[in-house]
Amino acid sequence: MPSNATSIESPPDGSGMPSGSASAVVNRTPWQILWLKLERNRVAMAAMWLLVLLYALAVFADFISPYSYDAQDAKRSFHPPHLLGRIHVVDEQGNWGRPFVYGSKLANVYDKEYSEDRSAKYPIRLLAEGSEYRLLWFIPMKTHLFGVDEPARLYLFGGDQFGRDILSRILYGGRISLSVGIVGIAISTSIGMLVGGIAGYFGGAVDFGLMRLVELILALPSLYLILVLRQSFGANMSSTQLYLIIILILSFIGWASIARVIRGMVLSIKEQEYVIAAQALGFSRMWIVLRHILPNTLSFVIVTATLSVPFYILGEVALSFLGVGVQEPEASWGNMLQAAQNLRYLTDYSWILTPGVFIFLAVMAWNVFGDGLRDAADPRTER
Amino acid sequence: MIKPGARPLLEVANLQKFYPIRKGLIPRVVGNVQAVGDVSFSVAEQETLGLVGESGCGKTTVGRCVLRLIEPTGGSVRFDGADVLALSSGELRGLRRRMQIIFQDPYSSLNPRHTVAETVGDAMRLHGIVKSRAAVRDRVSQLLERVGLNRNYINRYPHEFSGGQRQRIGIARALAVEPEFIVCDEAVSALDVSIQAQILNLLSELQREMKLAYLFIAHDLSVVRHISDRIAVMYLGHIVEEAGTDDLFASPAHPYTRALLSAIPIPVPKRARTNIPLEGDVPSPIDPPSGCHFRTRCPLATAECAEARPPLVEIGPGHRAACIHLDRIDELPMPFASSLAREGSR
Amino acid sequence: MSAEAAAGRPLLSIRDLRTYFHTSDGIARSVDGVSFDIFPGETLAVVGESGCGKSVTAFTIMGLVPVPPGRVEGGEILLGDRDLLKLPESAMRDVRGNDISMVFQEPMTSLNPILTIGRQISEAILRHKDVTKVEARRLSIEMLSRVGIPSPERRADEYPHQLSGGMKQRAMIAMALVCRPRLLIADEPTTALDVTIQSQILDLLNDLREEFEMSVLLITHDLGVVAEVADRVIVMYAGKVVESAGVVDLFERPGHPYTRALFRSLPSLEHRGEALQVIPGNVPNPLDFPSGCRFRTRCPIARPECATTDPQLIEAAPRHLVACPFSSDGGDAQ
Repeated sequence: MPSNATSIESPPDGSGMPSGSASAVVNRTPWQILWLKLERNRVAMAAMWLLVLLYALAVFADFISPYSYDAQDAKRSFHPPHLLGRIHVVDEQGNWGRPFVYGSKLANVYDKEYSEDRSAKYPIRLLAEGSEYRLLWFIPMKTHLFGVDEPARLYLFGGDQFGRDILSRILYGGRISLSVGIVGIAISTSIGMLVGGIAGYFGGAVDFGLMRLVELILALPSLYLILVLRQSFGANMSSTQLYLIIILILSFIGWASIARVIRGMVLSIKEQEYVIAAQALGFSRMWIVLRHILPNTLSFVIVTATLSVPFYILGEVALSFLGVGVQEPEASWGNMLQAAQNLRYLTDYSWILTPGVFIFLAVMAWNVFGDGLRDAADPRTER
Repeated sequence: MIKPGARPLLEVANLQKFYPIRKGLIPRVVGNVQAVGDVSFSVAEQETLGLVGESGCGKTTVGRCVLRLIEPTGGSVRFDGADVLALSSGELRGLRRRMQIIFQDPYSSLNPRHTVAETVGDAMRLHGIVKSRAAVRDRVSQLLERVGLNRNYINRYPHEFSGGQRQRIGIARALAVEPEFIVCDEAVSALDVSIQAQILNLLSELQREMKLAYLFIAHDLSVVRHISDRIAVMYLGHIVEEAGTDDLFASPAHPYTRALLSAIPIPVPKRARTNIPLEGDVPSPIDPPSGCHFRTRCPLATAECAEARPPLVEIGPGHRAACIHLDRIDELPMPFASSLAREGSR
Repeated sequence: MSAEAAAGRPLLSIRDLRTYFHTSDGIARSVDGVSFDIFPGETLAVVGESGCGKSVTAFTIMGLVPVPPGRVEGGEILLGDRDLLKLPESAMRDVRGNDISMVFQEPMTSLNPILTIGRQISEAILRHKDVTKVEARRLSIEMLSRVGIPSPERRADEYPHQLSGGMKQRAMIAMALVCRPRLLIADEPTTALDVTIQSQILDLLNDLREEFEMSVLLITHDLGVVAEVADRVIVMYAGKVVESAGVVDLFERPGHPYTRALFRSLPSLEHRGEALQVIPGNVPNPLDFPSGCRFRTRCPIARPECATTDPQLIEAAPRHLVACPFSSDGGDAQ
């Protein structure tokens, strides 16, 4: 408590530096201010657009990818990427034209070396006809964004052991790997807010018990916990079931840290004078929690959630890489990397690591975007 | 002790608040923080009682216990005859309309996500003071104007206001339920002096117009003196002296009051200092000194002071002090503030 | 003290100092053309309301303004013959703590919580003086005892959290003064303390100033504190000095309409129950100061020409500068 008989001011933050008086800003909601601050952060905005792009690619995977994730071709096992010098714009006669590929011949069966068969060109067509699918899960379509005519096949990022197009599998795999993060965080954040909110608001024995549970979960090594939980579900399961189980397992681990932080926030918001004022005005506990406490944790929750998405993406990758997650022929970025467990595949056909680039991009984009959100939500970084 | 004939609105008797200290893996009570030891006072209708003391003396806890925002450990609080501590939560809600609070921190006292309309208007609807949405906005606008803000500010958020303006919004929120009694908890301490004067004037006007009674909690003695009819001085959880404002300043009877008054920096340069130096710091409320809590810093203390806590004894009309050496108080110099106050009341 | 000191050579001269903050909402002219002198052995108080630029002035002298967003746009800070604004950072580090020291408002956050008090003071000595560690420790303990900390040998081995607020502020002062600086800048040194502790610290500062023959630049918002300890006073408003005078002069014959209004808005001990005379409106936003005289929007004697001319400090009386050409024209209408 400052003690002055005659105070002219009480400096708001002690530094005496102008913190950028907000009075110049007129009639903006706290959300608008958050957005304005985020908009000025170019790196975070770039990350956000990258995420928009990645998720759009996943949603429209069946349209963008030339093949289905499970379209095999035994004669083209480990076909090398067309992007590495196998797309041409000048033909044998020296004529320039639209990009095309040649068919490929298996030159060395043992080493899977392919040579180009220059007898026929296969132009890369936009909006090519291909296998049937349902756009956005309900519009039946056959048109793909691009493709080549049969019998040639396009392997922009190369092919895998079964001759499946890695690009197509990455796009389809993104549906699983990227959505695990969103769905998982939605579940664990809900549990975390509920448990943390209850512990923080009611305190006492409830708080004590819940927080010990949280500590227990956080104390166990997460990979071990994942495996233990996984084994309890048994082996024979449909891919949808597996997908849900992965999310459940990851959420079960993820809610604990969120609960702990929410509890801390609730404890501090509970002491804010506006909460006491609401109490003094006669509002009920429920009203205070819903109108005052939870909304004020919200921007923080969003930041935490954003920054935890990578945990889920990497969690799925880890599970599937170990072979206990998404099962073949279903594609996920994790189970695609499973092929890299074979040292010879890894050294000879290193394009099978391409999903790692996407994992890296997605995880980094979520982290950078989350950092930007955190800075924007921090009232101390006024500008 | 309110003026004879005045009707007591709030009567507090032997109020106590202890906070248990828990320790261990399985928490166990190992001691108590004595925030409020034993406090009794009353506030009459349309009166202002100032409650002063240094940080940690328990004045804020008293204010919150009176409104039952904190459950007291013991004692009684009666508001207009009703036993506040015995009310059910439903009955308490009705009483909340009549007793309100204004806070110190103009930043944490407003929900950053609520507009002025919500902050001020929500409680009106809760208590059914006005029914329709339009009527609420109308009433909020009126209140804004009454506390000196533009009525067009109704849709703005707290961050768009200065500290003084936020304090006015906090006052409007308290007035929204048309209370008779308001606890002002350091309501002007965080404000610039020019703004502080504006808010003090506003509080005085509102008191006259709306016939309000205030419990004015502050550490700033010149502010308390300006606004209070009577003043109670707290030290480490107890009231050590209580008197009419002029009386307290003109003839402080407790050694702590005298030391406190002599420590106020007064805007009169190069005056003779009449300092009563107090040794050391306020002791911890976990383990307060036996007997008189002030004895460890008191220049008049003797061995006797450790034996029992001195009771508040009446030494003049409406003037009580808790000290066994009241007869020796003139060994301490009269604070400069007191001589100023005496001149002023002449 | 001030009258005699004024005749001598100033210890520190500040000339036309301008420190701006470049924010995305515009430029905050927090310190905008401030000039004053500090003479040896005097206590100069800088008073003003929030955002007036008094703390930024102090931070600029210390070379501690965060860059960006802050920037010193111009002016001179002369310590003897040296312009501190032209010194390289390495030379400035030798000045800080040695020639000029600073104590801050918040004793709780200005001490490093993980080092003992004695260690922190010793490090300050070792930074500037060529002494052994043992000697530094001896000097630290001596200094702790000098600032009134009981059993200093024991306290030297304690951590900041083991000390009360008042004791921490004493330890801060010990650390600031251990190299015997010629100037101590005290930024709201007692604002976070209780009144009874505040008066102890103010007395201590006064005693030490005499003993160490140093000058004190006291930044405060509290006119009571000013009256207790200052020799001369600078009143700042919206980034500018509006008045400068000896303390008795200022309190008895305030010249600038702002200073007068400030005194009138204090709750006085002589009069009670009357409405306070207030300064209307709010403290102006540093991003958007009014043109001309920055106080004109709240001034009772403002005239149309106040909007166009920037008032200069003029000598209204000997050694009493006021930045208002109309200050003698009944601005004191009570």
